[in-house]
Amino acid sequence: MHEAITAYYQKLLKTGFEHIGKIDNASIYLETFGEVSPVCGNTDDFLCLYIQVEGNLITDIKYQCISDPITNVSIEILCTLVKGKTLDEAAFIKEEAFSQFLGCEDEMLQEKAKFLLELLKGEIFRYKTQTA
Amino acid sequence: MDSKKSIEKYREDFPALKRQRNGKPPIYLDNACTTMVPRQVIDSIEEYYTDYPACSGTRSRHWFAQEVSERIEGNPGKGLKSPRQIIAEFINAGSEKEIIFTLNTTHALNMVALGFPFRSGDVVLLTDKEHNSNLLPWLKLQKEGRIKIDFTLPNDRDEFDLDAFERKMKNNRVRLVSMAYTSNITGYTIPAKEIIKIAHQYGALVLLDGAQAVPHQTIDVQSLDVDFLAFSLHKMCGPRGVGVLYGKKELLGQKPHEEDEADHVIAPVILGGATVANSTYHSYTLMLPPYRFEAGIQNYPAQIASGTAVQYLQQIGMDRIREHEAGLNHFLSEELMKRYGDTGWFRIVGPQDASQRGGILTFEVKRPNALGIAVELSEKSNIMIRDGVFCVHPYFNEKFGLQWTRPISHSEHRMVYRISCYFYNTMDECRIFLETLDEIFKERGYI
Repeated sequence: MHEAITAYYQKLLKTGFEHIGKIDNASIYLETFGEVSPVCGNTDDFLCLYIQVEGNLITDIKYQCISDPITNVSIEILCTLVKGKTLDEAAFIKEEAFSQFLGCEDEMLQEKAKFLLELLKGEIFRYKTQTA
Repeated sequence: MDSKKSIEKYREDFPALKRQRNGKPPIYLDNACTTMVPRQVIDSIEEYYTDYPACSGTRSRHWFAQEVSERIEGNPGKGLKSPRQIIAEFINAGSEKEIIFTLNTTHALNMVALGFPFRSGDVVLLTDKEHNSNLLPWLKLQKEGRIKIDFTLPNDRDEFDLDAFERKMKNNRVRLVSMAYTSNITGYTIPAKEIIKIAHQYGALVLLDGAQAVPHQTIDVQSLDVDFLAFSLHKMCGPRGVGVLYGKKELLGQKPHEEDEADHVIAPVILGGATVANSTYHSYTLMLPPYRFEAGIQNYPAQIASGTAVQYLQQIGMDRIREHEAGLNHFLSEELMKRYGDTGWFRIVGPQDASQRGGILTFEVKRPNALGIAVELSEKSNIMIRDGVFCVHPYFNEKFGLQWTRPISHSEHRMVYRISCYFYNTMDECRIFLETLDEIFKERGYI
């Protein structure tokens, strides 16, 4: 792990993972698993994301997950970046925002960011279509 | 091969262990999954495909078929032993006819489960740590109403409880006891001889899943008096896709028609080429064992190479292998407990005494984001271990609760990792593992 990611992760361990939790009757709910979960040998990661939308504004975001540190860091950054934004603004967040947030370039972080942003954008699009 | 040379020198025979990535060699500690393959075994396989890639002489009669036959059936005049005979001697079977080649341990266990003449109400007794291979076949039979499953549980120290076992034998109509000889989670080896003696006193037969036992210790099926033993060659330096079912001669049948056999004899469940002596449009007569159980074209190169693998292990010596693994496990267990034993989030699964766990050391990490340590070990130092549930879902679901893979709170995250050693592993590899794990724990803020 890049030292900036390690430092941020260790800070989260001390101060707590701010966005962990659950929102009952969330406006947007998405859940994703790793490739396998768990198959005969492996146990892989999962993520449940809860987003509360009021009007066009994301007022709250929470998650539950089991993952490795870098994934957890990425989810925390995603939540921080998204909270308080409109749906359209959230849908325009780029992978680079994650690097800027931590002030480091890291290939793994980019991969996780890309994965999470694709998930988020898909769900925002679906929510907007359903509520239009 | 010099039998007196240091056991660690044997690693020179393994091409995969000479590879490098990022300037570092592999540190392979996933031997309970499958083992590395020595040059001698690779050469055996290559020789078949290069020189005589044909059927054996039981089907064809030409030059290549004769060469295959010599290696499959043996040719004492040329000093060639059949792999079946080599394996029979390795586990001290009474006859090579008691050795049935299968695809793997799972296949062998299923052959007994599906071929055994169970009567309604029969009970099959298992332990709480059976691999899915020794659970699902029985669950299926139970679902079909053909048997009932019962479990015998360990004592507080996670050791086999012979008294609890005997109570189960007394109070149930146990027809078959089917157990992992050595657990693939904890490495604990059950007291098989005592178990078999008790089971026989109550009229039950015993099937041992020897996948994690046969590659690591001397096995004597006659001394054990075990009725069936299943194991895989790929866990003992052999080729993939070959396993063995050992069965006592009187349990494998002798009659041409399976319906005429006694009620303790297993019937073949897959029939076809090579299993029958003759057939008409209306009936068939079976070959004698082991052939009635080996349907279709066999995996000749893998069977030949199985003999090579077993001879390779014999040259090293099974007692030396066991001692070496125990030494590594003792060192690793002691170091891990010294470093993390008091943290409250680290524990060794199974008996705490390393001498009871063979070459297996499984540990639990109960910390936020406990996932991914196996991947980091591989990325940092080419260390290969296993994580997950090791194909024993019920044990972890029971111990950790059904929702353990999806905990609500970060503090409830838990992950299990398994190190499994073999004779080619070294103390230096163990030290690198410990250093790398320490580095990961530090980076993650666990310590």
